[in-house]
Amino acid sequence: MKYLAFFYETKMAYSSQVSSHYFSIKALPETSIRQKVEELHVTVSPMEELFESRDAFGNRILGGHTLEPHADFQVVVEGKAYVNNKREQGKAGENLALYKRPTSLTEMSDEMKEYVSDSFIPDKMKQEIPDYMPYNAFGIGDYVMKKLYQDFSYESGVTNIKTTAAQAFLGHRGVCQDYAHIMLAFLRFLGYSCRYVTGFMIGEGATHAWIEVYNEEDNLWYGLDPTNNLWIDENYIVLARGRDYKDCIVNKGRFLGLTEETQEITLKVEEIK
Amino acid sequence: MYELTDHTEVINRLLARYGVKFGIYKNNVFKEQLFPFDAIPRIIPKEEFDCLEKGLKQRVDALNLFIKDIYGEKKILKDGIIPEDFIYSSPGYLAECEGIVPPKGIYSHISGIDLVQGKDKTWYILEDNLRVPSGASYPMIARNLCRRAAPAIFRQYHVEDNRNYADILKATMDYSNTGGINVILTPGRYNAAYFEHSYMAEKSGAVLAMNSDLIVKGDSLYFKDYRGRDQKVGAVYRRISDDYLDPMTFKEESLIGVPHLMDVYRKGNVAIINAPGNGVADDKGIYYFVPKMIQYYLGEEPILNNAPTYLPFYEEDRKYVLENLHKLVIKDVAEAGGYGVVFGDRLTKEELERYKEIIRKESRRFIAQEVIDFLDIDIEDEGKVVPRKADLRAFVLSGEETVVWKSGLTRFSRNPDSFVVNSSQGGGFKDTWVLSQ
Amino acid sequence: MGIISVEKASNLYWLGRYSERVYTTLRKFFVNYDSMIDVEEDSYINYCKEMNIPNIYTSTEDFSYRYVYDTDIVDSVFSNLLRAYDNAIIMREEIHSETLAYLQLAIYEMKKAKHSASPLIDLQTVIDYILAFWACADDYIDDQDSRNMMKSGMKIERIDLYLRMRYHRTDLMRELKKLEYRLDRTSLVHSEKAFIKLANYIIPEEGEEDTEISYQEAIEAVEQIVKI
Repeated sequence: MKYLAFFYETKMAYSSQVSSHYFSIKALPETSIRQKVEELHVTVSPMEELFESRDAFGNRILGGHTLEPHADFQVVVEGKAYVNNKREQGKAGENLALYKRPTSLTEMSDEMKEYVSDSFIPDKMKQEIPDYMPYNAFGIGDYVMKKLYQDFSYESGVTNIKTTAAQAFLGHRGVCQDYAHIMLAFLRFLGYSCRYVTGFMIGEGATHAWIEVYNEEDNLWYGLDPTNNLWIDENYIVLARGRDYKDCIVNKGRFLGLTEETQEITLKVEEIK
Repeated sequence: MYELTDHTEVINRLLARYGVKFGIYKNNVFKEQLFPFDAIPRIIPKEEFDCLEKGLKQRVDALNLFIKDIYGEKKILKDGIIPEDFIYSSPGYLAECEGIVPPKGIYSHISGIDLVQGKDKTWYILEDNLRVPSGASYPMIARNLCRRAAPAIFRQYHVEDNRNYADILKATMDYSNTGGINVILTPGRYNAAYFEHSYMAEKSGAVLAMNSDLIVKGDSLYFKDYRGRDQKVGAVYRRISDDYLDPMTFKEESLIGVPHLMDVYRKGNVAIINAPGNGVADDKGIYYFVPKMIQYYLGEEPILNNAPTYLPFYEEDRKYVLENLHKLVIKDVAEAGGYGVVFGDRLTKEELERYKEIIRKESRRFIAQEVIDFLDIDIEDEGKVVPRKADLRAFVLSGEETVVWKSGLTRFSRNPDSFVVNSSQGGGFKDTWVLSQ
Repeated sequence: MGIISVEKASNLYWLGRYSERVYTTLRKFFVNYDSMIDVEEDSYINYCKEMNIPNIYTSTEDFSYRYVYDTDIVDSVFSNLLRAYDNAIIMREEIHSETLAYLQLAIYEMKKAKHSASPLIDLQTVIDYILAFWACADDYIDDQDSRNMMKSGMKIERIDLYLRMRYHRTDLMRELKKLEYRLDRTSLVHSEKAFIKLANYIIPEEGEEDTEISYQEAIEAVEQIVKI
């Protein structure tokens, strides 16, 4: 178990004033079996209306609006969390079928299908998955992650938030969002329920994305971080889960005004000893 | 009732006076035109309508139970009655609505069920419209004007009054209302059904609202009053599609939606009429399964028939469809408003082959139906009475009880060779008389 | 109803202004038309200047036709009528179908007049329908404040036009009183300061009854009263 302090700040600056600004923020970590959140403090400014709600995937939402003209917008989320290595349990009524289907961002292209049929051959995987790993969703997830990590390189600036798994796959490059999308596409194609996760990771300067794959045998969701080739552990704080990036947008907003926006994100996650 | 044709001119003048129009987009230009009205009413005898009424209630009740099941327990999928794939690949299924239980548990408050009558007088269900079915205002106002133009005729026949539609609508909205005013949410003046939006607001006493009139504060939705006295809204009869309903949940670029409406809805603090996500039940592919739903949820045999339908998704059906494509109607499940409907007998050999190829490749995308031998009904065309194809949109409203409106929108095709009756494709409409004895 | 959004308050106000604009400009057009029967004159040039609309017309005939009927010209009478209708149709549940019908009928008459051999007769019907529209609005609009919003628009437009048409002080004083009556009774946000300024231009100081009004300044003042 680790005791982590986190400070997240996103600052939007608009080149000219915007108005009728509505926002939905999915950046409120919640207490669960794997993380106990304390002293959570959120500030949004400027802000005229703020309320809490939830989406269809169970994520906490901070919604609200700022109708008056403004040229900047700031969200700060800070708090502390005890985090352990436990895995989230499958909940009754959870729609596993939904997490098994491709979404527009995780559609398989012909090239991807070819890659999967060359790389993830059941007999070969059975042989290559080490003895200490089970041959199930977790073991295969781990195998896929390692392969992905090996064949792909991390590079920012070559993809954007709208890039699909298929597009990112073509260049074999991308950021955590692309790694996660490609891995989701593969695992779903192989028949597993898996979901997109956003959160904070110790040492990272921005929100991070990874995946969780559902293992029927023990009714557990296994977290895997393909960008870093790591299992999700006490270094990660979960913010939101969904089918893909679109369900987990940290700061979704809509406003009136023709403007250029620049965003500045600060994240500090440190261990409290 | 043919006597009414003597009054066609007067009636048309009255329709024009009240601006009974619908809008269409042609080459991206919005044009409003009068909805052509044919004075000869479609008459449905009492016994025939009694049967329709029972069948329609049964169907809509089953559809409501189905939608509730899909966004809740999903028993019908677990029991293997409908393949999961049909639900999750349907564009009308919205994961964003999972787990929401709407006020009073009603999903389809206003259902527009399209029927046709065969030559043997059997009624067939053509499609279910559970999203934002429009058209009730037209027969409603037409009846009013016909009675004004030719009162004597109405003294002769015993026709159920259909001008109570707005009262039924109001009762339906009131029943699901969570406390507050009723509003009709319109995308605005340049929508095809704008006449109907404003007319229904006037007649049902609801407030006609554009998205900019509404705002979410805390856990509720409010109508912004000019004088600063914001009014809580308890029911939104929205006339915009799911995709555009709430930019914070659905299409972010929507400029006609109400931001955060879905949050209030999920909390149970406002009724949305009809519920978002209903599209999963009026998908042309799901249509095939409606008789099965009736058996599954109600334990009853369907009173009304579907048109004989094949799903190329099933191998046996696919085989039949590919062999008989030349005499079937092919419908693209994603299209609406008369678009995406192809008659096999009108296709050239090459086109037939091309369709077969697409059907083989994307079997989930199409349904195929036998061509029904329509019972033509009479219309007046340049002073002569001629037979034409027509359908009937019945309106079923679900409030405290399920009520079938004793009338309906009869649409006909002006073109003697056309089966397509949609107003967006140049058809006209008639009043529908349900006889009371 | 009694529930009016910001949008609808604006619609009511502009419905008042545009319907009044059609009414008064048509009546003025009748007077002009009559005088043009006897003498071929370029009075329209002056008219355009007074009304502050671009003179894009080539002759008296051209003006008589296009200024009234051409919907491609934003200042034409027909364009103003369509704008009145646009504001009215979104108010159907507030003003009622019966009321709206008269603007619809005015539009049909306008179209008819365009191709008519005796357009003035058909245009008279347009005026008749506008009058019927107002009477019907009076009868059907239940909410007093809604009525006052529309009528404030009408009165402001009338004074604006009368000033542009250089009406005499006595006419303007009469209209000013009507406007004051409406503004006192509406929740429409308006500038008291601008109204007093306007009143000072129109109501003469003692002994100055015969001096000319500062029309241009007065027009500026009237436009400042309601901003919606």
